[in-house]
Amino acid sequence: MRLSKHQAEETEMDMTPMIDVVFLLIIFFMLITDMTQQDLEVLTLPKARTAQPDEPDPKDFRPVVNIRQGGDMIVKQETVFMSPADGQPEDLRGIRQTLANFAQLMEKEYDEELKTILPDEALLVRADRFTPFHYVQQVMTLCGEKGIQIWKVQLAAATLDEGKGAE
Amino acid sequence: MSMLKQIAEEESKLEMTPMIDVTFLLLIFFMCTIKFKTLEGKLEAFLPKDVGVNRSDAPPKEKIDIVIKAIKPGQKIDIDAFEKRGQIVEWNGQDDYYLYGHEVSYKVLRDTFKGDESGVDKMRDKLDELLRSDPERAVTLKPMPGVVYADIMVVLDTVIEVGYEDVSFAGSYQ
Repeated sequence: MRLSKHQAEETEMDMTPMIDVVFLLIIFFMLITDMTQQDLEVLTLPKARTAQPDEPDPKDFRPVVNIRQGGDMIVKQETVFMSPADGQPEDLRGIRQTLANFAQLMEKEYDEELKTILPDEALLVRADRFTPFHYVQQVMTLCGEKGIQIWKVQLAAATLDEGKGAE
Repeated sequence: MSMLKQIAEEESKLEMTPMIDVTFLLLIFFMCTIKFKTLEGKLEAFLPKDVGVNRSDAPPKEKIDIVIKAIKPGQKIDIDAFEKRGQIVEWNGQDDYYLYGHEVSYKVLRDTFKGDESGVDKMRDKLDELLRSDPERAVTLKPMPGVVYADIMVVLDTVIEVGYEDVSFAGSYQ
């Protein structure tokens, strides 16, 4: 009788260390998960020697426009521009509206020389190495339009010591 | 007396099972959604501020035109075709296609440079020479149809490396 009671006690597992470990893992993953990375599409960026490491200040509003190989533009996992089929005109309304919204949300600064208020934050343009440059030019042209006027543009590139381009 | 004590002891024992369930679920969620932070690079560019408002009346500077031409547009090849040929290319596994045999040339003033490594080195020397003769000189990149982002990045990278501060892009060609 006494012996069987002893056995029953031994089969009961001590959960405390396991829970400790699991909590530690959870905290680790919570800290390391960076939601801002979800803006980035999977693209292979071209390499550049002079590229500066991209470490945006989390306080800054820095929107990202991804341009895929075919020219499709993706913002926050949503396609805002579809490259047209051969011979069809380009429909820039989606991307223009998106850029205008970005410009609205950006911090503004008064420009002495031009006597107007201009957005003072940057836009990151990420294109694949094989994206026709025309589409990057389209984005830059739209950035200069009246009502948008985002003049700080960053072009994404992979730094040389990075074995691979973008993740 | 001893019976009462036993009951009290049993009640004070916490029920761990639901908590462990929830914890495991959370753990699995975070493990699945995690995307490790990738550090990318960037090149800063400032577009002209005055487009669409009023044109600046600064006197136009004499600029060095770099015309980027695609001699061969290249063939779009998907990864399966590469694997069949037994060739290995740098690949992130999610590209739509790889541009095979894409060739460009860079024309700086009157000189034309090939798009390969030695050509780019020669272009760098030329641009360096031009900058030394006039440190204020500006550059304009003129991409022709068929040019891809990577080609522009090579020129932009070279131009910045040499030390030009005023770089502009010619308008869209289409």
